[in-house]
Amino acid sequence: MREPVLEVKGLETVFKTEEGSVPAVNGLDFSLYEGETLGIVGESGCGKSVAALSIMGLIPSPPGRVAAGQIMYRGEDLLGFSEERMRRIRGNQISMIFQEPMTALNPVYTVGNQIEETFRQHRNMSKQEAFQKSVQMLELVGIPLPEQRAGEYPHQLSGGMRQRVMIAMALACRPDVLIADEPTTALDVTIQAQILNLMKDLKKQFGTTIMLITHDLGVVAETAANVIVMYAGEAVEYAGVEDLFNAPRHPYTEGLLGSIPKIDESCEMLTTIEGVVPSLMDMPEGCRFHPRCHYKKELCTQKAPPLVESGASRVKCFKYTDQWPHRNRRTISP
Amino acid sequence: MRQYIIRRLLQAVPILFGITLLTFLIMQLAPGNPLQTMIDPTISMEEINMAEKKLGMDQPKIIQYFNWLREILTGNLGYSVKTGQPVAKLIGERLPATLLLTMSAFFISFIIGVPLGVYSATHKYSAGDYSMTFLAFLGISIPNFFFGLGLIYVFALKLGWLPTSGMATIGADLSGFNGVLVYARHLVMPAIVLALPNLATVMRFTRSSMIEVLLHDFIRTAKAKGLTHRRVIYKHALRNALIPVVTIFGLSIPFLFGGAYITEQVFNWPGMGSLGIQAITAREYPIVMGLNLFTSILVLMGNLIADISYAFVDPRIRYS
Amino acid sequence: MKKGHKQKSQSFYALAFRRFKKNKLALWGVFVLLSLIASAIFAPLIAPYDPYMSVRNDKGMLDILSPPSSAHFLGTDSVGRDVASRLIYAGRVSLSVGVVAVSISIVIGTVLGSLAGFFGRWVDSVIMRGVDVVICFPVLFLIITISTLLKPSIYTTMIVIGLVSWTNTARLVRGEILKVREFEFVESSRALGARNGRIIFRHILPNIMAPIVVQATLQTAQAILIEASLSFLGVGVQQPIPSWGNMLNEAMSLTILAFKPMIWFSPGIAIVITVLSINFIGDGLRDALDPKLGNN
Repeated sequence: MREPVLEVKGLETVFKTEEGSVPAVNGLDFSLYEGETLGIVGESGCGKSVAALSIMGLIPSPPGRVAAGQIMYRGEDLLGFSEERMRRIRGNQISMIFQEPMTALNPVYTVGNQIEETFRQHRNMSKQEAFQKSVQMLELVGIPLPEQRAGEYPHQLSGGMRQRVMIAMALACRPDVLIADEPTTALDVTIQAQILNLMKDLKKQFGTTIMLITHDLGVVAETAANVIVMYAGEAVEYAGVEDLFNAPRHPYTEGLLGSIPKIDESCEMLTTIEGVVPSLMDMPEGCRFHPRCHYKKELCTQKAPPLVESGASRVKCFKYTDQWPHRNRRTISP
Repeated sequence: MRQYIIRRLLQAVPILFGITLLTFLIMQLAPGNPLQTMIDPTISMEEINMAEKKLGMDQPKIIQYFNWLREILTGNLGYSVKTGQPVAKLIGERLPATLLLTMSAFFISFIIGVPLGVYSATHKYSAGDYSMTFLAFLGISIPNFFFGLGLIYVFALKLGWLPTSGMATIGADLSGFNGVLVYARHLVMPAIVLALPNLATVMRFTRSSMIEVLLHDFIRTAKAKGLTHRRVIYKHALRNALIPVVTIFGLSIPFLFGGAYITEQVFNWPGMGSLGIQAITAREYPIVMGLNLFTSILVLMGNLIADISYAFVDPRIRYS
Repeated sequence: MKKGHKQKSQSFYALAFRRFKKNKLALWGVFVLLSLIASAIFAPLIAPYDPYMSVRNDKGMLDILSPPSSAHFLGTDSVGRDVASRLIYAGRVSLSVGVVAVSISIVIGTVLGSLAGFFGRWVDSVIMRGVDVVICFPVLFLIITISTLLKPSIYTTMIVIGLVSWTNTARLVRGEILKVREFEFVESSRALGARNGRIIFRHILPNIMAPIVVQATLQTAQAILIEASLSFLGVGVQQPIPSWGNMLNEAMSLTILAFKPMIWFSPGIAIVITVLSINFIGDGLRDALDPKLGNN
């Protein structure tokens, strides 16, 4: 059995607002195994980016704070690390790329300079050595004329190029874990495919463990082996990618896949509520998904469902428990 | 980049023209014909008559203006009414002292203002930030002559640490290091007085610029790379925050030259400012107008330099 | 449509007022400024002496440069007038110069800025180049020059400060108009055949009131400082009319500076407190009226 590189246990990240504390991530558990690609899927505001930033120790504080849980990285809890120790981990053992390559790069420094920094910070390299390494990285991520490109500024590159630069920067120190937060969302469709292929290639080459955050199931299908579906700050389903697409368990996953008739208009409204905080202010009682759920029973409105096993998947839904009053209850296979 | 500079230079031409026109218009308020002051009073009567003809003093105002402009462009700013000395020479003698004072104030305001602004921004809403804000308000609300008099009262009259006025002590040894020390001791108070309001402005501006920059995505990227707090603040954030601060360079220049008139008067600093106030009191309009014209052209040049340095600090302009 | 717009602006001002009330410094500013205005209005009731009269002591001698005492709690000046009484009367001068000068500059700036923003093209070019020209002149010396050329007096001071400080307002109004003029309601009234002047005054100006109010407040502080500087140099408000600036002029004498601090210190502090409170109000208004512009 492979060892988990990263184990998140009962993670709870809250944000302070004028009306009180709001949990953006509420009791999240998952393990990331060496060399795997784990997809985390959910709508914007479901807490997936907050979870990623919690792992990186980059939750803006105030107003944010990791209130409970553990983030075990190779057997040690990152939450107990000093800021300095955490800094040495960031960009070195665990790195992250972001959604907007346009704004994620500093406009006043050349891209070469921005990659060099990582080497200089973590590897103590001389300027020249760092420059050479940076050019190598640019070449590795498929940027033509890397030496020349290294001397250019972000605004001189296309969106796809900039995302390649971000990847080069994140992989510079050969991290254990790469957290990719919507890495292709802001890009054109053709460029999206290129970037995903690049990530797959690099993963093969370096054996990097990847946590891929996206709202796009197509991206997950193409890259991930295992998937977590998040809804309203919680993980509602854990599944292998095949199972997820062939036999989705959670009603929300079904909705995402569109395997059942589309949720009605008012629910569509709910999905587009922007931002994490206000919608989390008044969470429904019981199962958080029940107001939008097709299978809703009275039970769902009263208490939160437990996490149960169903096939190879695990799901947070009463449908798969003994309490479900329905006659066509699915059997739990051993 | 070159296009940008050329465009800025071309834009300056009509402004330069406007400055001379406005100066000429204001001079119409003064008694006598302004062209009269353009003639060297030490030459013979015949030559004066010839010069009056040449300047077209009997011609319509618009012709007079162009004749006057021609004289200005050839470096003739007119002559003092009382002593007959050329105004350009009088200003030239006073220029170094004023440049020393304004440039010192300029550096003080940026060298102190920027770090204080950064501190305020990175310690937003702390006690330090609030005191800084209060001091900045005080800085823009205190009249510089009152602040100057206060400093003289405390540091020169009561404590006796610094000289009350002037640029150098009469009879002091001004050679070598000793000379530098003498000038520096005289410079300290007027430079601080002149710098204070500008420093406060620079500080507030840096603070808000920095706060805005710290919200950008690339700051998060820099943190995610594991850079030290210092690098994130001083390399990534500050460099971006300083781009708009460069516009304050341009705004500082007329502000400092304007402030120099009063500051020099309070400290008896022998520059263009005290020359200007003396000329006002003596109704020496050629000198007064010469100073107005000269300082506004200096300001125009300063603005040009600020605009061009703006292009240098922002690669998005430099490479477009 | 117009009705909806009006309602929106009402709630906007209500919200702004609530934000302003939270700003302690601004509230302090309002309190101080109101006290200053009251003392200026009721100067004859508050001031213990006639500000123009030289006081004589028991021996019938002019009471010159007397130190603070129970009779003259800030002492007397070099011609024997009560400093405290002059200080109170000077508040009238400073505040009225500030208000009148700023009214002039706001009117000029608003008119020129509106013209530039609304008509565009050559009107805009001419006016904005004019702004570029005026801001090249060091404002203070330009004002000194013009007020000397026209005979210095309290009225000259007001007018000249107003005539020279309109540039910021013009730029601001022009910028706001360029923004607002794209709004649909301007287009619709244009289609109805409203004349340009009506469009400017009925539709656009109410929308740009907030930034103008902020600008006017901050400029009042500036105008009071300029008046003080002019009077200090002797080219502003003329003796015997008391102004904080010309009261400070006495400190140009080293003996008064060194030995009679009350004479120059009190008007100096009066200027600082006045200007500071107005600046606090201006900053509070800016934060309240335009939260994205604020520094906080």
